[in-house]
Amino acid sequence: MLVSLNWLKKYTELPKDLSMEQLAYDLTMRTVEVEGWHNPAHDLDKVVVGKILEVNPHPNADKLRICQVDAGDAGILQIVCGGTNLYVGELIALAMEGSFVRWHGEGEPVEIKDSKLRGVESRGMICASAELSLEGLFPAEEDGIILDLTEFPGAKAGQPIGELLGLEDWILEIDNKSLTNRPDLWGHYGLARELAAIYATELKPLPEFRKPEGLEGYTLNIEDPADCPRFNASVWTGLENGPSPFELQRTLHVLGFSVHNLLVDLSNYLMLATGQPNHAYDRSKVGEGIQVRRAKTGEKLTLLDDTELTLGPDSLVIASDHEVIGLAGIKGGKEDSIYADTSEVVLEIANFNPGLVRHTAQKYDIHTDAASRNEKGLDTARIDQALGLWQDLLRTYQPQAKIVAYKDTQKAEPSALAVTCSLRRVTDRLGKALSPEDMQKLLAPLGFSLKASGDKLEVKVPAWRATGDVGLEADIVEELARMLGYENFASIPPQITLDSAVVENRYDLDREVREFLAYRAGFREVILYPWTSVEYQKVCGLPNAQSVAIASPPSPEERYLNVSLVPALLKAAKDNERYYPEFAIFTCSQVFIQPAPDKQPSVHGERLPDTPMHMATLAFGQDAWSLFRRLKGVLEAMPRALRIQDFRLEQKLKPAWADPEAYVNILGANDEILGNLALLSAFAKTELGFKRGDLAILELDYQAIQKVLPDAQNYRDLPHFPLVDMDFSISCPEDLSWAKIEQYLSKKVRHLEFIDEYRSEKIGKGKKSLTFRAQFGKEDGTLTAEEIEAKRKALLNTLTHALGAELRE
Amino acid sequence: MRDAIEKLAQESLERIAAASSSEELADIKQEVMGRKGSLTQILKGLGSLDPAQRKEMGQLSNQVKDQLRTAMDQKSDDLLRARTILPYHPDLTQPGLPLATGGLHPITAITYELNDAFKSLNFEIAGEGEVSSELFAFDMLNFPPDHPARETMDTYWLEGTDQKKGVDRLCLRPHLTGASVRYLQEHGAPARFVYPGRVYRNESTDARHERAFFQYEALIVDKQFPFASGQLLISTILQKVFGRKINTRMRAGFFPFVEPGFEIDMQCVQCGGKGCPLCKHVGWIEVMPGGTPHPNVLRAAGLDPDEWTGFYIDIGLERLAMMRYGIPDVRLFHSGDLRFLEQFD
Repeated sequence: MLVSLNWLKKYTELPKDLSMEQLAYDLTMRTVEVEGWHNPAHDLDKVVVGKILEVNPHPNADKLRICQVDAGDAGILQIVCGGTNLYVGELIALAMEGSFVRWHGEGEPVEIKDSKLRGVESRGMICASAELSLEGLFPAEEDGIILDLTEFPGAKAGQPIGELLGLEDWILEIDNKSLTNRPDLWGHYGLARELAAIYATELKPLPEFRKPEGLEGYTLNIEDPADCPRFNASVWTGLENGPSPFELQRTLHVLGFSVHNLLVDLSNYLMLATGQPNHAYDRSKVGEGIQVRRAKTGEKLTLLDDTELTLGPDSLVIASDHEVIGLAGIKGGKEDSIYADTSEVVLEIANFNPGLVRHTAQKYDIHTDAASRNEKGLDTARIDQALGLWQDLLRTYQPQAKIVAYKDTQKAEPSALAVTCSLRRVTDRLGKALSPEDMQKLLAPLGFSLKASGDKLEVKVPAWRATGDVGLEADIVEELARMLGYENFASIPPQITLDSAVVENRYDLDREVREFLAYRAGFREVILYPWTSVEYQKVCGLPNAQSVAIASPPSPEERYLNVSLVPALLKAAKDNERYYPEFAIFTCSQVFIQPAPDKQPSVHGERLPDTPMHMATLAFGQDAWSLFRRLKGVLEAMPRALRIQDFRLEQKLKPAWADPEAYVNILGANDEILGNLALLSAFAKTELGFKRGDLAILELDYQAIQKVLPDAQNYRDLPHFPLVDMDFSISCPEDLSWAKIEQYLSKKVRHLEFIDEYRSEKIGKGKKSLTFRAQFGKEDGTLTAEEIEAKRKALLNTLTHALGAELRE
Repeated sequence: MRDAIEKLAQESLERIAAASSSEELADIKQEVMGRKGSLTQILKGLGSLDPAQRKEMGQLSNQVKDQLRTAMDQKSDDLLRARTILPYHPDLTQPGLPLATGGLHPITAITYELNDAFKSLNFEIAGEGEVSSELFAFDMLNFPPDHPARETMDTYWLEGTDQKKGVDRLCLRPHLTGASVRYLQEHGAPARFVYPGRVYRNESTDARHERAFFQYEALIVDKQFPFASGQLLISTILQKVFGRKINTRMRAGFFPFVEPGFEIDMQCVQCGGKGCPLCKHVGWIEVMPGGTPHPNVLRAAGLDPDEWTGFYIDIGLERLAMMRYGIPDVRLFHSGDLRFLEQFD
């Protein structure tokens, strides 16, 4: 929202030496955020009135003219200009070197420099109104028309344009977000009240409405007072519409409002002054009565900009006895609008249900200044303020106008809201000892009044703040604190009671998992969206009955939330494939699973999807089997590193994405599947278009990662006698598993270590070669050569006879 | 003979001193003192000397032998000391071998840093599922029934529930604050806890806007807690992230779940408050909302607002990370792009 400092000063006198920086700081700290400010006159610095003394043809360009321009103190300047309305004696706007103009009225302002145009020196620019951002005040009829100020009263050569037009003012940009809860600040008068409170200056009253005797009534039919708590209609005759006086135009223009005609401009002025939206209808079109009602299904309304809306009962409309004439509190229709010759108006100043206004504004995507105010929820009392000011404005601009009819739906003035507070609590929470008198002093300028008896404070809230904004003790604390100035509260160290150390197994474990994967396993953490496109879900057999979907998803392909982290990780792998020949990534995140039908709702009745934590890792590279073994190594290291239960691995149910052979399920205590370790199947690889490598994936439900307490890593005595390591290379049937070898040999050795395996034609089909290392030793002495040989023989014996393997030469 | 021995000794000592390898030393030893060595050859003539001379020459030759051995041992040590393990001159400017490439996501790393800071202040860590209901995401947090954030265009409602109300209307949580009510309902007050996590907004994305992002929220609830004590939470976060004291200010701000509510600004880390493009030339950057829990929120949490008060703060972690590391685009955090992530350790 833009605010004019000149306008604010009409309502309150500000300290003489107050700088803009200080004003912006004070408002920002206490009330609303000032995002910036500018001075419209300064924006036109070095743009002056020039008088054209000569207009000569340009030797090298048909469309350009060479003008000699009297620029007052700056002397006579030669300007090359392509304007079509140049003549000797014309007063024009001359942008001299160092000024800023918007080239052809578009884009950001650029600096004017002396230059040569087609070989002829030009010391500035004769401007069109749009080039000075003044098209709102001086609309150009066509391109190429420069701003002609000859008729502008008082214009003389050399005078700065900003001074001529009276643009000296500061325009404050207020962050709308910081205003959402303060409907009272959406007009200049409300902000002036804050400034008066901040600087302890007087706030001048607005003119009151004086209702003449013997007015006729006006028919108002309000279908539901809940939709429209108050409606004031007044009928004014004898109006002479036409262009507004320049000062009024300027006031609206600097605030970014376009200028129309006197009646429309006054209506806007009224809103900008009081924050109260209003609408003037041409009486001849509206007739003798207004209804405020819900639209009928299919009812139509054509807006001022010719948009045709088809309405329904979720929208509130203003209607004459035969048709809809406006969207209540948002925008008027085309038919009943103010015309250049309108002489009688029905002025609506009304209060509408804010939710209804917001709903309709959003539904039809119509965001007007009226809607943005009405949807904040305004107080009904400000209708009187607006009406008084309107009467006063007409007295100034249309002294011949008369009010002839009047109707207000308000039965009685609403009673003032009072908030009861505890003096002790208020001072406790402020952390400052204030007396009720101190409080009264701080609050009175804002319109509050305060009565104290003992610990009890009764604070009366002014109507403009009783709109849902202030209603609690905490609100009073806030009003006091901001008026004292937040910068005047030094930090107070909190006093706390320490009763125990924080023990957070769940979060500690989550962190240990991630740090283990990152720093010990060497995987890189990625964070991925909880939704993954259907293409990736399908490969994983998803979505399924357990999937949770978003009603308005980021895209139609991303409707489903992750049941498993595998699709998301595959997508991340695909995105990285082109940059890296190999990589290893992991992610830890919640997944989303429809609650079981028999899931008990919470005490509040919530039945939320299950959101268990999962971890998933993925290794991408060239050798599929070593990728698988890398992840298996990670999995096997986890119980020791994280002090958790050992896993059981078994092939039970192949995940949809997994290789038909290279997969294992990770099983929990009751044989439930808590995770999977597998290679990505050839089919899935092809489907997803992986071309540069293979992928191994490990996914695990955090249930499988539950802390075992106390920690069970036991010390084992260091060997007292030398141990003997011996490598064995055997050839054996293809289906002899390492697990079986371990089962048969582990009792015969101190330690058994897999080294590698390979296959070759030389070994033969159906067979493989396997190398392992056995460690022999005894607790009570050094093994003799005979003992070693005996152990070796026993081991070979088992290999040959029980396992069908033979020692390779 | 004396002359011959002394000459040989002199020559040999010079050769030893000039030797450049242990092999050369071994050769010298062989050539001088070996079975066919020059000293041995000379000493073969001992037999022809008279006994007195023989004794004298014998002693001399032993002295010379000792002298040479000592010199050789000395030289051998010197050579070993001077010898490099490498068979070539190393290029010391070559880079070291890279570590394993693992690492945490920068958001996770910042979260852990903040957790450590708050744990040192005896805060607990809490959390909730990323799916919540309108009851916890809005109703209990004092959002008015027609608050725009409840609309589909702001919040990701779940399919099949979006037309319902309250507990039956489910969403990807739009903020963390609901988790504080869950925690307080379960654990009561006084309480000090943080509950970092991911939240969601239905909006179009660009360099500054994301649909999924991380927040860090902290809450103290206690009986005596003037709002100015909330400074502790603010400075804990900012000092941890930026590694030094950061000036902050609290100013009027409105958020439904707090009263009084604050916008908390920090002095611009780039320009130190002088004004620069990062802070839009105002010297201050809005970093987080905060404030005293709204009485309605405390009530929803089962606490009497006349008895309990406290302080909330809530900060966007991506924004902090962007300022800390100079990251220009918020979408990078969820991109899974390793070229981005590998820049952080």
